[in-house]
Amino acid sequence: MSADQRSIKVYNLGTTSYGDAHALQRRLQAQRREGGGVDSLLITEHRPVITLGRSHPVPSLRVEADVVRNYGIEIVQTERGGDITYHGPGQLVAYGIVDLKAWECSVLDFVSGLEETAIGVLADWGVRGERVEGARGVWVGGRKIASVGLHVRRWVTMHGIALNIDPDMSHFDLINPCGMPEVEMTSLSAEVGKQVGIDEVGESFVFHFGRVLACQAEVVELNQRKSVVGGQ
Amino acid sequence: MAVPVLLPRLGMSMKTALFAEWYEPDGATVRQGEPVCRIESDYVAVEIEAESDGILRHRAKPGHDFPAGEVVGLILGAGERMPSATDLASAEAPAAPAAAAVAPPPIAQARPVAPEASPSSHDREIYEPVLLFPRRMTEAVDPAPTEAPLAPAEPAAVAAEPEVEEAEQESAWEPVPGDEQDFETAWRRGPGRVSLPRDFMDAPRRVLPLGRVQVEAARPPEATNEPAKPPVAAEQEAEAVRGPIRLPVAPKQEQEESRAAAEPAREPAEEPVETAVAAEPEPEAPEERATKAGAATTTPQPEPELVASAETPPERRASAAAPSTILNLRATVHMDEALKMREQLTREWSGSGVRPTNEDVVLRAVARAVVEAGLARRHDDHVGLRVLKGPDQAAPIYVFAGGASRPFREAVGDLAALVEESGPGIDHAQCTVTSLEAFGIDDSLPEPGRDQPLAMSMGAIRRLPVVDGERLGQTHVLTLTLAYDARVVGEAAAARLLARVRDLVEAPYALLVA
Repeated sequence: MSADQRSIKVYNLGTTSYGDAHALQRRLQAQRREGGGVDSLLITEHRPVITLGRSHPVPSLRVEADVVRNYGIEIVQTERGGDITYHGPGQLVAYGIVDLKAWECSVLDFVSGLEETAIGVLADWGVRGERVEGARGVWVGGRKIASVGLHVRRWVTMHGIALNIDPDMSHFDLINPCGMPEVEMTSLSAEVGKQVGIDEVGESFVFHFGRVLACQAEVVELNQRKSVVGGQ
Repeated sequence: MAVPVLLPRLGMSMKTALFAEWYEPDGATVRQGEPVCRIESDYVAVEIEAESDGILRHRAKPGHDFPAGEVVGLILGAGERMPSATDLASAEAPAAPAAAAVAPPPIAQARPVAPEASPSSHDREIYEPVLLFPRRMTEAVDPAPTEAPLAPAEPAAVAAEPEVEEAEQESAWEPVPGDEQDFETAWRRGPGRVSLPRDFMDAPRRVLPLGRVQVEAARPPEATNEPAKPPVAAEQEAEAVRGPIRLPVAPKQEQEESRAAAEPAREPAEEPVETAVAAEPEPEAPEERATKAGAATTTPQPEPELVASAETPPERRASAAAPSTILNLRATVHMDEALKMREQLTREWSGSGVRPTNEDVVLRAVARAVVEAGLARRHDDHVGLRVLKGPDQAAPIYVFAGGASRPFREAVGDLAALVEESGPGIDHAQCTVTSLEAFGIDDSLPEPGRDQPLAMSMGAIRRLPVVDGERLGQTHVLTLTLAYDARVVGEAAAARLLARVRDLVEAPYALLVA
């Protein structure tokens, strides 16, 4: 497959627990690594969860761990790069399981592509997102709106980008996002000053993903969603 | 032959990467395809696999940065010894092309930008799509060209010109500012179908039936004619002296006038003057308005949907004109089905140590009903439980997150774990349920917390005799009392909510489905 034949199947999983989506990603990545499967883009929202990057096993919290537990928020260790982050309802999470070798795309270009996709989405709502040298993710006027984190093995990616649409922002106060205590988080709703539907954002994300990374994105209807994400 | 473990190049902009961790110790036997170490760069973790079977020998220490192409380790074949430093140096020379083969420099092939020219430049410069956005952004943000016939060329308007421009800018986003308030669309739009002054202020710009748009488009020619008539201009000038917000032709100002009209509580003194002025300026205005009113009434008005407000309950409460009103509703709930379900679930889950209680069932029903009624902020279906266990015990509030959407068993398990601990109260629940079961008390009047619109108390289960045909049977009932803040939740909405909770508890199997 050459670069102009890139294609990806998009699965909108709805709201999932982190564990379910993670298990699905691992399966897809392993399959892709062995030369099977298809390149996939998983769009989902998670129930509240805090995840840690592989190199930062100690959570960088602003509060006691007990407080986080009392919120009913789990802390999960993952294999991705980067530091601590929060996922929750109202946050669009996109995971790409992509064979970069087949796409003839470098890892950093893929990360940049995810960021540009988010910037394209923000532009659709009239918000100017930008990338900042030395600090991955997407920023709006110095506030962070999207976080990236990837794991790559045999040039197959997993994990991806999390774009805040209208999450419970108070949950971000529990952590030092990306391990940086001074980072202020924001959301698309906060930036445009009204509620934004996450489904619309999902559609926009898929469109821009196809445009930025020059691939054919095919949305797969998931009537059998229950069996895919396991028990939800 | 020794096979090097190379640090790959992740992209043209990568200079170095952090060598993060060896997965296998020095001297370990590894198999081809097994991950042996991990590097990290730009929030990306890359696992490097062994390229052949053999003995892994470390060369790089974790925790340091290395350039792409660095030989971080070696995989030795059987009987092989560690190569000398000079051999390794020569191995590193072809290492860069080898790394390139593993990670194809994509820009060279995928995009028509010369990579050699810009290996040191930042991503932003060589990454094409970034250029697309500034153009899109300016298109979106720049105000539309000023062709809309809004600005009257008239001396009295000079003072108000910035206002007119502002109106135009606004019109780039919302092309039709209303010249009169459309109360129909604002009516009963809030949670629980309660209308607040703010709803009236915002509604016409949010929702405008198509029929009105056409009426608006037909109007501007007359509007531009207005100032040309000297007597009217004189009148207007006189008015302009009396107060700045007088020009009826600038839609923005009319809107403001009607806003003021819509919220008499805020500017009670100005209100009558403003409406009088709005009616005054044109003699022909009345019939024009009458025809317009006719057009507006003939266009079908869609029934406004019940939408959740973007405001939080405290915000809404703060903007409500009414004084504090906590009202109560009470319902008797038949618990027979719920008790039966509890028994079944207790048997079914007996191995896991999770046991559902009556509180679990009620909480679940409340969470579901709150979400269904649109009273939860989006996804924020928190419902709290205040467990009164004994007179000397504190009354902690446990927040039951995701009460409506998670699998019932998971929710019950978490709640049981929370109740075991005694933590500090968290009062951001939409609704608190106070259980009086332990005391055998039938009922109490709950009080919503500081930021809460709803509170509920559930009493103890009582047995009542019932006549079942010839026989005398018994039924189990429970009293649920809902207290709600009438400024946030309408009376009818609260009644519907409580009825829904009762229905859910009485037919509890629906609660098992997430």
